[in-house]
Amino acid sequence: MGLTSPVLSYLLAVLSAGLLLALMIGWRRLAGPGVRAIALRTAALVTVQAAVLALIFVVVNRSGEFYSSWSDLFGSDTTSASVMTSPSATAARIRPVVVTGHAVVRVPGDRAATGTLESVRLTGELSGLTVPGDVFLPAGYRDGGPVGQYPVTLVISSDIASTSSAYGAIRLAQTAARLIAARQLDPMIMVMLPAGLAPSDEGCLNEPPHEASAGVTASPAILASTFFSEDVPAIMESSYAASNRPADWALLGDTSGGYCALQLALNNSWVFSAAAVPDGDYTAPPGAAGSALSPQLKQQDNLLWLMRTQPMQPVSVLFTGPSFRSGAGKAQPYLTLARRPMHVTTAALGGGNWPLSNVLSWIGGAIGVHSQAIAG
Amino acid sequence: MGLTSGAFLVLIIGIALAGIAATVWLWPRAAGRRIWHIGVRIGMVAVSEVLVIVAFLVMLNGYFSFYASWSQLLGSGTTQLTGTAKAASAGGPLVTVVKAEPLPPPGKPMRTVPSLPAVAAGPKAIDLIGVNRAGGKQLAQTGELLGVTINGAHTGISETGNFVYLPPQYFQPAYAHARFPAVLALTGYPGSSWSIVKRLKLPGTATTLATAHKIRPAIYVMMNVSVAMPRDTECTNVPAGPQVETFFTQDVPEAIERTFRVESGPEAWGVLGYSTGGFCAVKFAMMNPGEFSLAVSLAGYYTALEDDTTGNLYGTSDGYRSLNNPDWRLEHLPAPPVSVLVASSKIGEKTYPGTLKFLSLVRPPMRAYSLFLPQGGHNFTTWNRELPQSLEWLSARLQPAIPQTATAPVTPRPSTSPKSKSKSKPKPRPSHSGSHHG
Repeated sequence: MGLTSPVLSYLLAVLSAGLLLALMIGWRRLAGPGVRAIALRTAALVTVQAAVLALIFVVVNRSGEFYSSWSDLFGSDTTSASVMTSPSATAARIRPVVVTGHAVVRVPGDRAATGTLESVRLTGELSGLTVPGDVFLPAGYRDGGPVGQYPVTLVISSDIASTSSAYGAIRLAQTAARLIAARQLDPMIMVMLPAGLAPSDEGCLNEPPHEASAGVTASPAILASTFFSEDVPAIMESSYAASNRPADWALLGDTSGGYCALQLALNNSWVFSAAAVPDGDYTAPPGAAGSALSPQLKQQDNLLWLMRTQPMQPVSVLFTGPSFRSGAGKAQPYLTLARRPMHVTTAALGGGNWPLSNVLSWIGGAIGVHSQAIAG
Repeated sequence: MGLTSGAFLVLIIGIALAGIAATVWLWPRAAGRRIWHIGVRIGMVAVSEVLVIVAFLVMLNGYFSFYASWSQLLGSGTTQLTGTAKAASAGGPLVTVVKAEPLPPPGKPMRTVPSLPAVAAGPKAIDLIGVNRAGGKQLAQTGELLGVTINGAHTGISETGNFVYLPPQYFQPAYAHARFPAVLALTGYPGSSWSIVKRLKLPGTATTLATAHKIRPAIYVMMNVSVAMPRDTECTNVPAGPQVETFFTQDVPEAIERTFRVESGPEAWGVLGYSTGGFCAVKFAMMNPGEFSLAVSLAGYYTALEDDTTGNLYGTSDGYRSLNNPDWRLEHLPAPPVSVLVASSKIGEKTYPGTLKFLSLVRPPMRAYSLFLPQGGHNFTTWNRELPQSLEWLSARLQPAIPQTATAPVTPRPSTSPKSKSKSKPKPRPSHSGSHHG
């Protein structure tokens, strides 16, 4: 009879009940004195208990499907099988980078400052997202620089297409080109991408899917965090001469991408080691994040809560603002809470035509300094 | 007294025997004809039966290592986590070795390790690796089994009672500068990592297969799938809770790579597990193809569970739960560039239909392999039969350790001893691109 057959459990149940009943009825007969009576009692009691134990074992085993047969239980089944391959078609190759435009960076009044600005469409293998953006390649890129060694700054801003904003791709490229030409910044690649990849997400988070419900339309999952923290580094390392060391990767965000940059640094400190963001408390992602429906997800998205409860991450953070005098600024709690291996500092934005000069210089220093700090 | 200690088992069996003896002794007093005499009889038999069942459960728990200690059975894992978060962030060592001994030759029984006494602590504990207190060159033939504590630098999660198996080659001169591939092996729930050594017999099977030249040397990191016993976390980054997925996919590889001569990158890392560990293995590779390119699931399932033992894992969000569900991901998201081997049994395994469904959902560039026994239940006997092929499957795809030979000298790396490795530069981030295995 099979170990998992229902008949066995019924049989054991009947047996246990019968034995218990017999024990109750026959109790008086075994109650006498003498070694023989004691031996009989012991035997009767042990038999009943063994039957009940066997019943429990068989029933639990059957419901949990732990042992499927007697040979399974006693380990005598040694039959094996072979590994089969599922039929598998080849995947359609995705093109991670499509270059849609290409310009030489020129800085009025500074002929030495140059570089290349590519307009691109990046497609992430893991997120499946395709995002338009710009890539700045420093002067001498691929010509003299060691291949695969360029540090990267990932800029996240909804202003990258703007020509007037300091966070516009052209202005940023010019700022970097000037600093590199003046040897105030080591050559670096900048990849500039928009903050909101979907209407439901402006925080570069992995947005869960939503089912349609009253007043809410259904929305698919948007893996924005996967795109920025896994796809973009993979694309830059395979299609550009970007470094794959976390110590060489920094984030830069403006008011639209600041939460993104800080969030990505705190949640992926094995990918990024520095972030420069505007002053702020960053207690919630910008926009109408769908995760606000869940109090736990809302808390997880509160970066100040992360600072208070999670271990310090090995990242350097710069808060930029018009002025940081004693205790001023919404970012003050971050300065107070930060401990090794995290570093938090503040800086006023520079003035004039190049307000982000000192921020880029700080990034250049932070990614270089930090790699040594970990090594030491 | 330890839950799995021999003394406790002897005590509990003694109590059960005493219950039987007391029943036999007091038997005549319940031999009357009155109704309450019948009640006393039933009561005596029941109490003695319960004592026998408790003894049986303690024995089963010892055999299967479901709960390794009282705190795992009764303790609150969540309070423990906040305590360790601060400890780990204070810059302590990522790996602490608490026990080290040579592996016995195949066929010889493992010495029981009911508890791991701390033989060393602090930053110097790592010096225990390769210390052969048995004398001679034994480790180069036997390999070494280490009991370790792993501290998660990013998550603050700290897990004690894990085992690391270093193969004999790790101690051989030809491999002195070689970097080894690594396999993260996970238990089911409830479980303890000792059962991977003792019941799944992973180090023993690996030694036997390596001796027969069926697999190449690798390092095995054996861990309890639940970092917050008795809570079943299903390897989830719990919103506003323990970040278990990050612990296993970032913290553990980083700790191992900085402590041992282990290659970094998905080509050199696989993950294997049984039951809940199988679910976690597949989920880790699918959600972190930049860390693991290979996953083996023995009797795993492929949907995101939530039940009494898990508590609220997904922040009451159905959408977040979907993101943690391998089946759902295959239906709604791009397939990741990883290979998985899923094992189950045609008869005797509840997981068989779910495994077939999972297989039907796999799309390129992901690749799936299956191993279906004709019959076998949800137990170590079944998994023991599936393990050799699983290890061979992993070995054929993992980036191997390259020995230094006389004919083809390899330039030695500047600093690869465990001590200096822990101070070396931060590891390059592995890239998931091009990590696809056939």
